[in-house]
Amino acid sequence: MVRRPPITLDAARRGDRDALAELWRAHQAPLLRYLRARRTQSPDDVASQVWVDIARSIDRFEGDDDDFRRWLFTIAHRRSVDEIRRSVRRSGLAVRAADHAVGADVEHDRYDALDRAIALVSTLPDNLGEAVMLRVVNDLPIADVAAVMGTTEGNVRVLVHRGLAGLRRKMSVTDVASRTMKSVP
Amino acid sequence: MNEFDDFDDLLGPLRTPATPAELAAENDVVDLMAAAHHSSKGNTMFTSRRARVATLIAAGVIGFGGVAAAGPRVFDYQLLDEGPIVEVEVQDEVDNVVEEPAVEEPAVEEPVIEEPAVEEVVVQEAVVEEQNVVEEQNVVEEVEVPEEPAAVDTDEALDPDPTTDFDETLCIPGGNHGKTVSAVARGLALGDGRDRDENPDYPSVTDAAHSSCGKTVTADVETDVETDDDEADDEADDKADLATAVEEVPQQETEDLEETDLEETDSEETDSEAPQKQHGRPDKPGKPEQAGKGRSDK
Repeated sequence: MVRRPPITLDAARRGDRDALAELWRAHQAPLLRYLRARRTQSPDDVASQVWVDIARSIDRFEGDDDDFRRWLFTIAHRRSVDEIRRSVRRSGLAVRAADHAVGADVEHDRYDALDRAIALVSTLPDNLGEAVMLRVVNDLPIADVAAVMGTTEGNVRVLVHRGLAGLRRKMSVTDVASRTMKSVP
Repeated sequence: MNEFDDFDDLLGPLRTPATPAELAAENDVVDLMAAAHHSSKGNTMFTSRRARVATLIAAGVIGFGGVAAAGPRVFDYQLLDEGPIVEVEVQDEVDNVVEEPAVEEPAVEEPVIEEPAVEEVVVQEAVVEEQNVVEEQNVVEEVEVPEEPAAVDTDEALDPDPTTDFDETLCIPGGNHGKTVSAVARGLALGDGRDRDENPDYPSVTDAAHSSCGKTVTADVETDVETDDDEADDEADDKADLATAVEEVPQQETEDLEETDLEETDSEETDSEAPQKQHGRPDKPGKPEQAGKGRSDK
């Protein structure tokens, strides 16, 4: 559960640097993990662009912390879509080609628990992984998830259900693979 | 805790606080955010004003452009009727100026040339040689060509007015329209010699001018239809002059062949023949005097 720091959005609207820094510290990790789960090529750069966009428009923002999170992930969603399109045009390769590499990383246990979890979520189809990250990990309401993804609430429920089912299957396969790797002398 | 706690083993790490690696670029990003906020706030008013001005200019340009693009069809032909009408009238005038000599000249010239030729042929059979006929045709062409525009102008004047009160029985028998109008103007329409002031039933010149006297007879002949009243008289005078001129030329040749003692009698015969041929045309009484005038003028 993401802890909500006592941030005064009013100070951030006025351009207070400490308030902007506290906003960044509170939401940078979920934002970065969301972008990594979406298989963004350079999540740090995209996250920086998202924060710059936030800073440019925060003086016109109205709402509480929940509204701010919905706004933050909406900008992140659009930025990630733009970055994925640019990367596809540059490389000419489908982003989904990295799925096998992610699975291989999970099997070899080269990453810690956080990286493995992100890698596992990123193996899901794009909209399923995004729905899981927004609804399950960041605990956004279904209406906010639907607003961020630009779809209906019913579709969000279906996507979350299918995403979790996919994760469960992948977890079982990963456990079998890890046990198999451990059993090999 | 929520309904997704079954996935804590998997999703738990995703909910953990930020790692130091994730917050490594804090200072750089916050500086960017502060600069972006400052620049956007400093340019907010300017940007908004500029955006407003640009929006107004764009709306004006698009609106004016749209109206201008749709203008020629909407305003010129539907709302502003005067513009196209002026253009059409100018075009009509140009067409009239250009087409009149090209189209109507042959229609007017052909009968003008043919009629004297027929008359001259009749005269030739009696007396004259072919050379005289050719000369007379040339003379006729020179005389008739100036009357072409007059023939065009008389189209409207020849239209009969059904509202006229003119008694058609007063039309001069065998005469053209101009004769009738002239007779009415001279006070000779009733034939009793009384002045128009003495007779209350005497027709007015206007009614006579609007009557159809002489028009039915002359409708078959293009030359008579296309002439005005006065011009018809002049044309008749010219024809009479030509006839007398043609007669005089061969008579002079015959006189050279005859003896000199008969000169006086021949001259009397020529004087008597000319009126006889003109009296043979009952629609031209008293023309020898006018013919003499016309000959002297030309």
